[in-house]
Amino acid sequence: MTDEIESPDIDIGAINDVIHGRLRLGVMAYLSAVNPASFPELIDKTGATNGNLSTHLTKLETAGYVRQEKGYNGKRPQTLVHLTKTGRIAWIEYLEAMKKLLGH
Amino acid sequence: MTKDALMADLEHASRIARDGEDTPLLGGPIGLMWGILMTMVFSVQYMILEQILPVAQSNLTFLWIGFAAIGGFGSFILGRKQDEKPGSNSVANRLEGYVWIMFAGMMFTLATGVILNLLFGNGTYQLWDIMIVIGFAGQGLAYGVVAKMTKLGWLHITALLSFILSAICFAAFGQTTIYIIAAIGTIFTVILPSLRTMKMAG
Repeated sequence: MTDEIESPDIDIGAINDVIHGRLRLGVMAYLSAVNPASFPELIDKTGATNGNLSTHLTKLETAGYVRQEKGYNGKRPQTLVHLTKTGRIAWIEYLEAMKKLLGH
Repeated sequence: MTKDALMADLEHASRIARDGEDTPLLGGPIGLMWGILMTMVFSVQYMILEQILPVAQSNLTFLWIGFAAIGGFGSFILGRKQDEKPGSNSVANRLEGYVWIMFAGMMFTLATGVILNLLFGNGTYQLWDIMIVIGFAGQGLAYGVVAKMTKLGWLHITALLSFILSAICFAAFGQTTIYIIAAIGTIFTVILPSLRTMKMAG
């Protein structure tokens, strides 16, 4: 692969593995603009399946980046996903690391 | 990971973030409901004060109580529907919702003050006119804050129009014409902007 990112200045370890996955990245990006977001809203925006999103949210929740709040909207069950303060800091650090990695 | 794959992932994330950031304002239906209610109530009040409608002025209290009750109930129902829409918790929508709640708090405070003055002070029923003057000014401030946040230029114009209406209404303070000015002004500063917001929200 000719485009492989290789440079002695790049600290690959600085890239947050928990965030860096296409779906989790999408979730964090959306939550950075819309917080909290409902579960169906995240499915709609990221194009994920129910189970897939659930798995990735659990991973983000375990890292303390998101918090899932199960409740009701009227009589209907609703899950709201909140970006936590830790998550926001991790997101900003992730973006900074990516900027460095890409040389901006 | 290749640079292309990384860039594709970031572009994907960026598109999702922009999608959230650009969520249109969702408060249009609530604004439209209040706009229609206010236009109706101001017009009816004008017609009663001018005796175009042969109704005793003492009934104005019931008119305003009905206005507050219908508006409050309508806001509750429409607010719940709004909460279900994608992007209802975007920064712009949260700000818009909160700024209007604070506006309602301000109007409620003023109404309480007017009632207390009428009961225990020397004020006359003309004191209610001050609600219209401050209402338009407060509305201009609320629109201005939302306009700055959303970068919607036409909302700045609505804010300016609200300030102008506040001044015009102050000039008509104590005269019945203030109510017909307020009714017409509400069409331009509440109903039409709400319809435009609803159109943008799709």
